[in-house]
Amino acid sequence: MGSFFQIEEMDVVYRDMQVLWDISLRIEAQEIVSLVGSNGAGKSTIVNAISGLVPLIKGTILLEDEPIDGLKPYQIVEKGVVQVPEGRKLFPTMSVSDTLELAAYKGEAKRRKTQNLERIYNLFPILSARKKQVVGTLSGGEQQMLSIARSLMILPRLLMLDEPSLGLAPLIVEEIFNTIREINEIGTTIFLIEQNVYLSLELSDRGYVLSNGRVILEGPSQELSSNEHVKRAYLGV
Amino acid sequence: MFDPSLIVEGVISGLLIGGVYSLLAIGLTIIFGVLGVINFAHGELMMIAMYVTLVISNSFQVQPYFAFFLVLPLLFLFGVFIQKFLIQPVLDAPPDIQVLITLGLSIALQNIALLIWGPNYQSLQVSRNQSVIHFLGYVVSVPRLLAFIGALTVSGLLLVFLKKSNLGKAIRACADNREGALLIGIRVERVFLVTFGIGAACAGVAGVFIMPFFYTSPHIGLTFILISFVVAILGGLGKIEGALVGGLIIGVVESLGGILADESIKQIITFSLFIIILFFKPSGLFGKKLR
Ligand SMILES: Nc1ncnc2c1ncn2[C@@H]1O[C@H](COP(=O)(O)OP(=O)(O)OP(=O)(O)O)[C@@H](O)[C@H]1O
Ligand SMILES: [Mg+2]
Repeated sequence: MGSFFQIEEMDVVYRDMQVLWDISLRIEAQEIVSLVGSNGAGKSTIVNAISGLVPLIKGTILLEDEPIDGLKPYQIVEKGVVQVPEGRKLFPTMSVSDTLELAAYKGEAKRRKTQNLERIYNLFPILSARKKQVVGTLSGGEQQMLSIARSLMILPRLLMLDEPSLGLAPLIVEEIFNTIREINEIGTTIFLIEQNVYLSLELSDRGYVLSNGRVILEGPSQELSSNEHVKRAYLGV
Repeated sequence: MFDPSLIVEGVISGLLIGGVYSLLAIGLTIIFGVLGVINFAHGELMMIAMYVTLVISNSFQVQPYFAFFLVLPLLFLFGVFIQKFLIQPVLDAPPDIQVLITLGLSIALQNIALLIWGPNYQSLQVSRNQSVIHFLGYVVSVPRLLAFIGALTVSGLLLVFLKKSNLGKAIRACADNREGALLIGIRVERVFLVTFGIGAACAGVAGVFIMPFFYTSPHIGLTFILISFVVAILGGLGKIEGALVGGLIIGVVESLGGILADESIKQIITFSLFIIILFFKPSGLFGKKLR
């Protein structure tokens, strides 16, 4: 029996440049798993491969033992595997409420839209106050919250967050990490990609360390935080 | 000196034809805004619609406006077809490949029209509606007024559709951020099909409404693609409201140019204004500031 979510021996190549080698990782239901690594290590490439934006040349991606690689991005979203992308990728000319409603435009998400909206506005009161505001005029922190909220409207089972703390002030980062914990507590499995190694290892159950396109370390987050290499390379100790 | 009422009539007549330019350019600009593709065959789509209108009106001896109900779905489907079989396969290729494809399509359509309908200018055989109405003492041509009302109604409905409907919002999402749209589960390829269909249908409807007071020929598309480029760029490429306003401006400028100067140099006046506006606002009237 496999895990809730699993990547097995995945390789990814952009045109003629290989960026991921033999990536294997697993995420159990309800877990928070973090993936850390420096710039250009290949973190975003992993989430983009999971979302179906980038093809694998080797290996497979399994959700509850069923392969999801090769599916179209919208099919992967329909399976509940949803990404909060690096750089947010919002719709700047649209309003906050239109953005949220558009994300829930079909299936189960549509049926539960009203109650889900209410839940999300409770989770992010600042968005509730700015329902009619055009997204392009939101602050960076508000945009990051909207990006997370937009994904939550799809009722994800596995929520992947690609550097949600990027470019945000420490207080906002803390707020966002608290929200991630709350999202997890109501039953959503979390895959957290971060350069903020300290915070993400503190929040997560287990972690993977990626370097130059390979997983070089993995284990319970506490063990990773006390690992000599991690301390030296990522925690600046 | 000029008779001032001549100027007012020029403005009115320009506004009226400008509505048709607006609709045509909205088609061009929505395709660019969502797909990032410049449809060089846009004028030819209008040309085809003009011929279809001509054929329907002439063979059934009916008013050309009846063609609307055939041209709208026909051109929509043609647009879907173009997107699916010509553009989609090269969507990730460099833009020059897409330019070559729409340019090639425009030449192909011109030659097909030449084969079917011959090289001559043709206009409607049904008794031309020459009627005019008098508005505050000015003379207004009825077919132009109908074209204006028709074009603006269709543009308005399209704007409402984009603002209010789910599909319309999905189209705007794809224009705003294609990857973001993919990541919330929007079937972007389908949205692209619909978008090209809508863009082509805009050109088609513009063709129907202009036919009652215009003529067509296999090369008439060149005239209109030029106008729609000017309008779309003036309004800010990809900006639908911009194209709407831009069409009216260009219509008026062109019409006044024809009155104040000479028919033959009115295009020079149009293009001069175009260049002057872009000099002060390089991304168009409704465009964002250039970064
Ligand atoms: N679309 C692409 N085409 C070609 N190469 C790419 C593409 N996207 C990423 N790369 C390359 O792949 C490598 C991994 O990039 P990736 O974005 O996955 O890194 P990352 O770990 O997310 O980095 P960061 O922390 O800066 O976001 C980099 O060398 C990058 O230049
Ligand atoms: Mg990244």
